[in-house]
This record gives sequence, C-alpha cells and structure tokens, in this order.
Amino acid sequence: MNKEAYLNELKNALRHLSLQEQQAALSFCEEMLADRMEAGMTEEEAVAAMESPALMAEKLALDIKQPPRDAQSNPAVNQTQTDAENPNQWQKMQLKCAAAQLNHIDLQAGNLPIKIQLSKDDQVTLTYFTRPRNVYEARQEGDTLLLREIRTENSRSFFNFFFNFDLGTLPRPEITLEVPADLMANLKAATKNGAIALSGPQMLMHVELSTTNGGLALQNTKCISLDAHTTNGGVAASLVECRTALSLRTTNGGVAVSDCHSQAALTLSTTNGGVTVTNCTARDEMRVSSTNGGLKVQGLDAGALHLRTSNSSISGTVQGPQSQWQIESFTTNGKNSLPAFQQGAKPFSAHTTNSPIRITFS
Amino acid sequence: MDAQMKKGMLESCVLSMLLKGDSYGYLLIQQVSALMPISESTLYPVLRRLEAAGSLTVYSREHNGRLRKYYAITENGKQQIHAFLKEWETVNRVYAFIKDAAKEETHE
Repeated sequence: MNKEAYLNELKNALRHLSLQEQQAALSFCEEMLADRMEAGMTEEEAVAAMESPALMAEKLALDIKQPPRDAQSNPAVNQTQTDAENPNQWQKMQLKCAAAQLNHIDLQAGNLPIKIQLSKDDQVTLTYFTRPRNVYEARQEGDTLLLREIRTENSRSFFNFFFNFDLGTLPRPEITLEVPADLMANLKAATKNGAIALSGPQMLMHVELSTTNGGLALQNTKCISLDAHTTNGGVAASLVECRTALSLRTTNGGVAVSDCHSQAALTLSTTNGGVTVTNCTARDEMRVSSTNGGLKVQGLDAGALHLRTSNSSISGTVQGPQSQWQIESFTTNGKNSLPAFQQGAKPFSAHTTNSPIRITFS
Repeated sequence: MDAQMKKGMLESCVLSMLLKGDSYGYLLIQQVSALMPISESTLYPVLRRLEAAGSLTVYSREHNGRLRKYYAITENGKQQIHAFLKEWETVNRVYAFIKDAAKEETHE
C-alpha cells in the first residue's frame, strides 16, 4: 500500500471523530511515515511498518471515551479526607463589579488558565477558584479589579511534596473574566501553567497577557495596544485590531495569525516554531521573525515589512505591486524569488539561511 | 499487566524521555521501545492525554521542508513523574511483602 492509500484509509477509519481530532491523528501518522522514509525505508516499507488504520482508530476511540488523565481520579492515590477537609478541593467564587467604575484589571493566576470573554449583561464578572492550599483572592480597590494568589503550597519542601501532593487528577478549574464589549479598561492577565484566551471586547486599552506553559488564543478583539507572550505554547490570533503596537511572542511554539491589524507596529516572533500570517496589515512596521521555523505569509501589507528566520523557508504573498517596495533579501543555499536589492518606497526585507525565499506580489 | 498501571507507566516513561530533551513522535517510539515495545497507535493516545493534562506542550518546527511536531515537558509533567515514583514506592513495599510471604509458604 502506498502512503496516500494508507492515509486515506486512516481518514476513513477516523471519520467518527471531530475534525480537529482527525487532523491531529492524521498529521501524527503522516509525520511517522515521513520520518521512517527519511530513515531509509521505502514508502511501501514505511507503510508496512505502521499498524492498520483500524487499530489506530480503535485505540483512539477507546481513549476518547475515557476522558484524559486530568479529569479522572487516580485510584492509586487515596483521598480519605472529605471534600470539606480536602486541601485539594477547589471552591468556586465570583466577584461582580460595575464596568463604568473600572479602569484597570490585573489578574495573576498562578497555575490556572484564564479565559476572557463577553458578558451577557453590563457588569464585569470574575469567576475564580480558591482552596486551602492555593488561596486566591479577588477584590476591587478603587478603579482596579485585582486577582491574586495570596497563599500557595506548591513549594517543593519535603513535607509538601509527600503530604500535600496534588497529582492534578482533579479537573483544573479555569478563571473566567466576563466583560461588556464596550469596557474601557487596561487589562493585565498573567499565569504560569495555563492557557489564556481572549475573545470579544472592543474597547480595551492596554492589554498585556503572559503565560509560561500554555497557549494564547486571541480573537475578535479591539484594543489600544496588545502585548501577549508565552514561553512554551503556541499563539493563535484572528481579528485582533490595535490602535498602537500589537505584539505576539512565544519561544517554543508556532504562531498563527490571520486578519489582524495594527495602526502602528505589528510584531510576531517565535524562536522554535513556524509563523503563519494571513491578511494582516500594519501602518508602520510589521516584523515577523522566527529562529527555527518557516514563515508562511499571505496578503501582508505594512509601512515597512521585515521577515526574518534561519534554516527555514520564507514563502507566500505580499501586497503588490512589487515596484512599491524597497527590497533587500538574503539567503544562503536556497532559491530566492526576490531581488537582492531593489529601490522603492516602502522597506521590505527578507532574511534567512539554508532555505528558499519564495515571495510573490499579488 | 493491569491496563491502568501500564497506562500510568507509559505516560511517566514518555515524560522521563522528555526530561532528557524535547523529542518528536518517531524518535520517542524508538526511545521507549528500548524499554518496552510500543507502536504509534499506543504512543499517540499517550501523547494526547499528556497534552490534555498539561504535562507536555507541543510545538512545530520546520524540518526538511515539512512541519514536525516536537514535545516538551512542563512543570506539571515533572510533578507527574514524581507522583509516579512515589506511587511505586508503595508498590515495591507490597511486592516485597508478598514475595516474602510466598517464600515462607513454599518452604513449609
């Protein structure tokens, strides 16, 4: 059987799963085949070395019926305390404020994910969780809404490790901030092991989102400025508009951005990961950079455009005509569709190494 | 071996491979197979579960003109390894006890 036939059979076997699950499983197997072939096997040999698509589908179906480890109680750990005494049991809390009074929101979440979305009324509602070993407190101080972890027992002392250990077997709660679409406030949200999602508000001022281990998912948001960064995690953004700087950064993770616009500078950067940018514009400078990852662009336009990576290709389309750009491009060991130098009005530079540059102007 | 135990073992096994450094699917299969034979249909659900539990993160990196998914361990993942080791201290104690009891039985 050849690779295409195998993947088609696999796709068919997985048809009962969600599109996302199908895609993920397919790309996993596709990678497996590609790696086997890179290791020297022929296409036939690589396919023969894989298990039947039916088996993959069966194992996945079993796994999906059984929810991920996170939500399941591990029988090896005895929880002999009642819920009330259990230092691991989260308690849900809620704080509501009038939107008109708020100018600042400052959330620091420790190890919980944060979700910011639109409220169904005209209030700001913060739903958070607290428990004896991670005490969270939310309060309004003047025009500021604060969330802080005021006590944490996640320390690594011998005592805490062996007597208060939390396997993460209980479902991890998510901090939810619901705001009216026209809330005019500065927003700062930070967490460590958790994703941050932002969707909806149209009149935020300065927004700063940061996480360490977790992805960033931003959509349909307007604000004055946005600075979102993560270390281990991907960044996905669509329909985000800023009046001043828009900056999305990650270290280990891909960046996928579409239909985002800045009236000043737009900066997208990652270290280990590819960047895909579609239909984004910036009035001033747009800088898209990676260190180990390909840049795939489509329909970009800016006052100045700079694409940077190394050991990976730069490909796609830029708003034309070509003659309006002042081009400066450089690569080694790779075809370059751009001229090394070209005079023009708007600066456009593309640098990489050991890879092709395939940019056309639409 | 009991299915639950094997699952937990596999998860911690994969995580401890990641402690040594980020890895990708094919390489992980080879690394784990050195200890216990494993196929992609077994590894994939393990990786899926670990990601859902926040024990690892996934990122893509271009390799020879295609995207390859790399896995990296998180703080949560390191905690999961410690939890596994702690659970097995109990297993070891119980094993030693049973072994001892069985030895006495055969010597009567």
